[in-house]
Amino acid sequence: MKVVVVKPERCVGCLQCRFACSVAHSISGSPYAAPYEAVLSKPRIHIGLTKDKDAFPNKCRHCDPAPCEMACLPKAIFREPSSGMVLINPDRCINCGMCAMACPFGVVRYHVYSSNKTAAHKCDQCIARQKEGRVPACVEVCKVGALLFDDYNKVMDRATDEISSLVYLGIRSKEQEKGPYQSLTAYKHRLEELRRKQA
Amino acid sequence: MSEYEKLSICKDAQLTLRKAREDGVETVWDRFKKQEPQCGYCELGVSCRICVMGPCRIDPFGEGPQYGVCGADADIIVARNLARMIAAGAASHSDHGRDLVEVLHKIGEGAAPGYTIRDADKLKRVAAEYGIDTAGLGNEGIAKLLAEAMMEDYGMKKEQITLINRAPKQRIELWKKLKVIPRGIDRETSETMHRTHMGVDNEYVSILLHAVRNSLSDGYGGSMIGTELSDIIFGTPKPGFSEVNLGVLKEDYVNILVHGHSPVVSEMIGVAVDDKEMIELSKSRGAKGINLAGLCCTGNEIMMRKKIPMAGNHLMTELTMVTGVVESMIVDYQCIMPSLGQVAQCYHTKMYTTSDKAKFPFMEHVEFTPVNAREQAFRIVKESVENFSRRNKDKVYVPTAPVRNMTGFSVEAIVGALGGSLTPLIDAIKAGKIKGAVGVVGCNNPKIKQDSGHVELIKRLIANDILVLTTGCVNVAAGKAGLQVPEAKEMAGPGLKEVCGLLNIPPSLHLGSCVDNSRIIVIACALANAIGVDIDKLPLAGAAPEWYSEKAATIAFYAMASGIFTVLGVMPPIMGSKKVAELATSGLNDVFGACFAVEPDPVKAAQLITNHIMEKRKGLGLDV
Amino acid sequence: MDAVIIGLSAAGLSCLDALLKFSPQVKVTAISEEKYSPYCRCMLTHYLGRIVREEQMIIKDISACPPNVNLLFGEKVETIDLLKKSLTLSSGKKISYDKLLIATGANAVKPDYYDEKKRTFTLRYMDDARKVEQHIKDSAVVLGGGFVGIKAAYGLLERNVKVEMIVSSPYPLSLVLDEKTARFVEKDMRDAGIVIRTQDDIAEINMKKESVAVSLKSGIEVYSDVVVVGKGVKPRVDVARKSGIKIDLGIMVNEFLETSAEGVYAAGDCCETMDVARKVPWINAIWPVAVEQGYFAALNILGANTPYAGSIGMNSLKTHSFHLISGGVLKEEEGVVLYEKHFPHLKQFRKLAVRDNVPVGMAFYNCPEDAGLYINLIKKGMPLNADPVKIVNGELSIADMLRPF
Ligand SMILES: Cc1cc2nc3c(=O)[nH]c(=O)nc-3n(C[C@H](O)[C@H](O)[C@H](O)COP(=O)(O)OP(=O)(O)OC[C@H]3O[C@@H](n4cnc5c(N)ncnc54)[C@H](O)[C@@H]3O)c2cc1C
Ligand code: SF4
Ligand code: SF4
Repeated sequence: MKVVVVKPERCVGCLQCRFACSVAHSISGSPYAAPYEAVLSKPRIHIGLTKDKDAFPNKCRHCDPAPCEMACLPKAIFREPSSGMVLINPDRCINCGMCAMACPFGVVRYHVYSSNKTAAHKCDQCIARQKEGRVPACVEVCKVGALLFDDYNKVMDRATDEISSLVYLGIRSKEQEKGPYQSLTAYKHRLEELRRKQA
Repeated sequence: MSEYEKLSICKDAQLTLRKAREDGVETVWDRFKKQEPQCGYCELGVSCRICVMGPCRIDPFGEGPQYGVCGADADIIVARNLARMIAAGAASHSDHGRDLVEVLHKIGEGAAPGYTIRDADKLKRVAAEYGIDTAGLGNEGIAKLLAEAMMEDYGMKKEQITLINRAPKQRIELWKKLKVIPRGIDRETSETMHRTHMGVDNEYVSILLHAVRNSLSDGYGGSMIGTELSDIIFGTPKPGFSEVNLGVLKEDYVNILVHGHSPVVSEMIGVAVDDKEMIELSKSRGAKGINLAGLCCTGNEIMMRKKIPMAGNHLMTELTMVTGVVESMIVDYQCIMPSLGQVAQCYHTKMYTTSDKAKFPFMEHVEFTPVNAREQAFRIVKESVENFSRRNKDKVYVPTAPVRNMTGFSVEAIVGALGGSLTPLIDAIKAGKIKGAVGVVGCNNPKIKQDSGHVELIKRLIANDILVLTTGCVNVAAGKAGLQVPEAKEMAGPGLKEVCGLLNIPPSLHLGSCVDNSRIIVIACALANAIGVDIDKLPLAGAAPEWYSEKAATIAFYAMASGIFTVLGVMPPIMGSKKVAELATSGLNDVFGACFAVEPDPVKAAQLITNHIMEKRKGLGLDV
Repeated sequence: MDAVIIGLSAAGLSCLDALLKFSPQVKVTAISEEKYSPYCRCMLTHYLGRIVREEQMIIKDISACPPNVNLLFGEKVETIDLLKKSLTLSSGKKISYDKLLIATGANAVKPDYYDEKKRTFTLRYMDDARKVEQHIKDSAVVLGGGFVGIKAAYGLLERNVKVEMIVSSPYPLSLVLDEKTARFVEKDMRDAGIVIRTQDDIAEINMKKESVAVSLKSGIEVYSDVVVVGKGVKPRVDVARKSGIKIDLGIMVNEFLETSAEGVYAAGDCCETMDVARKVPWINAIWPVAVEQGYFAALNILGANTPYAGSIGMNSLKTHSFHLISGGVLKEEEGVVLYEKHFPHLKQFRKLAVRDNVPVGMAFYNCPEDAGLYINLIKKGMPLNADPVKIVNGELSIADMLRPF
């Protein structure tokens, strides 16, 4: 499984990913036609600004376990089994806002979909493009290597994945002696072991 | 379909592209691929870097900012950017025209050895338009006065530029009403830059109206002067045959290429390569002689007048060197890819720049002035000949045989072919033998399979009995496809075929370089005047299927402002403003009687144009 | 191993799904007293508001369960025999287990005036919602200003029912919010058309012709089609208590969610775990906590020995006009410093309670983008590495908070 890896230190704040994301999720798929669609396609990647005015690309980490999925009342948020991506089914969503509460990364928004329904809205790792053998639109458009598409195993303990699990699982620092987990790696190992044992 | 067949319809391009890959040469297509996907904000025209409170972008999807730091919305930003594009295009043509005014002036002063007046009749005709009393004056005397009068067109001494008077009365009245009559060629460009500075003009319609004025200062100013003076100094083109495609390069000759836009340098190179001594020198180096060929609009200029063959258009320029037989390439300015010097490094080709306005990496600068041009031309040709011995035999590859191409259709030549007046053409249009005429102009753009837009469109138009007038890169495309020889009449509809057969001309006529779009304007004006209607009533249209440059945007604007419906094959960066886009694609119709359409598919574009021409015929009460 | 789950709602279902995810072959029996496929009871208010249809509340396709899963609906567990490791069902059937999860949830609190004949109902189960649905025409009294009451009120508004809300405290959500934040919500509710009577309570309910006449302690009398009572919940611990499992307010568990009985776990509204913000055992009776506990219980049932770090109270209230996300404890208390900032032009308000540099409570009003991070920091008791003043001022982005890692 491949995931989008964010390298915030390389981001130049050009906002191309935001634009490409909107276009990729529009009905027409064309940069010229998308701004003319009845319901504008909103971006699913967000460029935050640090207090030092550095750009910080922020998008769904497709956490495992995913806090948003656990908080979602009607199970509109689910993990797509083949790709492992955390997806939102806007038809099921009741717009309760629980997912924004649960997500440690602040990547969930609420927007009108082309079906005219307002529902939770976030990165789907361009699952439609991936099925066509293409990389996610944000990765394709990023010219500075701030967004990469890489093998999950290779990035398992890379920065972003670490941050996600660290925050959600409550590990304060990798070296911390006390607390529930020795380290993220230990936790991940435990799950791996469990999977192997039961298989 | 091979990888290369997706990039170009031209056999010579496909074959040399493969060799370029083998030789490790990076081409415009490779670079385009690396740039893709391109910046969406810029594609829509909603990015602004006019001031350093910015750069700013408007989010077309409504989530992000809707205003630049200064408060400009998408409409203002798009309009400002477009106006600046048009200013750049107008500046390019007009500065090119200025160089010819300078040469003319120097001729008048007797200070331009090697340059003379080749068309004295035209000199007098144009001088008369400028109200110059030529009685008792020699060519030099008239040249000096005309050059000075034209200099005033560039400045701010006049209320309106002189050649605007070529337009039909009704058009001039309309322009006056809209306050878009250009006052000075440089002035309008300067004013565009002023208006689009932060905090000046912030009403998109007002900005765009001025952009129209700026474009007219090119079409009826800089470009028109460029064409007329080139004719006066180098001769008004007459029909004749030449050749196109990479096959015009000859393996056993010294091959010299001229590239750019101005005939001032290339004409002189032309003199030098014909020089006996130079030819002898080449023979002493083992070559059979010296072969001069053109690229882009410099190529068009010398093809029109001297029937010098053309090796290719915009996207072919890098590939010419991949043949391994080019001893030197001499460039002046405009549309010269900065990569050329780099490509030359892979071969033995010597690269020369000639204008102090246009210098490039990996090229040697040999500055040309009206005074030293002859001398410099001989120097370069001599060095090129000497370079023949450095040619690497293993790298030689001329992929195809050249194709015949008919050229030289200046307005005067067309009128001449018609027997002295436009009446036979008008009669043919009235009789429905020719349904109308379309200027197919513009460049190449790697966003469109090379030449596919041009060729397909022309084929469809002539099949519908629509006469095609080509300039710029379209000439090479049409020529390579065999559309510009009298035999091509077989591809035309019955009416057009009959007319072409009678006059022994192709259904697609080569009118010259991109400044020579002014020739199309002159014909349009003359037709309108002869019939007694405004241009927008005529069955005419323009098309730029593969345009890439700011100059093309300016041309499109002055064509539209003249009343000519224009179809673009590449989307201009305006879609970020719904209002500007609406204005361009329909609103302008109510103002100028013409607007734009964007249609990358040449089949659909041909349909659009044909429908338009039929509408206009109906308007004139003609059969469709 | 035979795993058995009592109760198939948030906690039970989450445990079932996690068991199957990590151990697809595991033998599981799940027993639900309710007759329906697992549904989301939080959506009962949406159902009443006709925002969703009944079938849209179903959250598990039971037909897709593998053969090693045995689901029993409409069966109540009467007793648990801890020694024999077996259960007795209402039908008399006995089921033995190796590992057991008690996920019996909670019941709605029913005050003395509760009387279904007087069209006074609570809202906890599908059956309750159906009863309300039967009687409602165009007006309702909602009793209680907690989350369930407010959600019910907004739901009913959606179907154009006139809603009067009776709140005994001075403002709604008084148990979870401070007054200032709560007043924002109150104002939005009034603007939306909900009549709110604070510091009042029901004295008596009577049927008058076709209407329910609700007499309030203040003397006012209100007429409506139904009364919906939302006065909090009580954990369902009877079966556990009878079997001898240790109960405090809810079922007591250790950090592995195991009860006093070995191999017996508890999760959800019936179970009491560490409240990270309060630092005492507490029941945070909310859906995400139940799901989470179910997940961790499953890991431990499977022997992965994964400790549960504790929970906090938190909620999201999202309407057409506002989105409130709150969590932890926001009350003034010793050692707790409160920070807040209101941006009236943005209709935004942020409030943060911090104890010893560790955030313990928050209410973010109309800024959902940065709320989740602080909820998670509170939930994990993680120290702040930034100035709380800047946080409530909205000067810090998520980027600043995530960076130091
Ligand atoms: C109207 C309403 C709105 C809500 N809105 C929200 C909200 O917006 N956000 C939020 O976080 N929470 C909300 N909640 C709370 C949330 O629904 C509960 O926290 C959650 O359902 C707890 O799940 P649970 O699995 O622990 O228990 P429950 O959902 O209570 O499920 C327990 C199940 O066990 C069954 N059971 C009990 N005893 C036995 C037995 N002996 N034998 C067999 N079966 C038994 C019950 O019938 C029930 O089906 C709301 C609740 C209600 C009622
Ligand atoms: S990053 Fe947020 S939205 Fe994405 S899976 Fe994690 S919790 Fe869910
Ligand atoms: S807003 Fe939608 S996706 Fe998010 S938790 Fe609620 S129902 Fe699920």
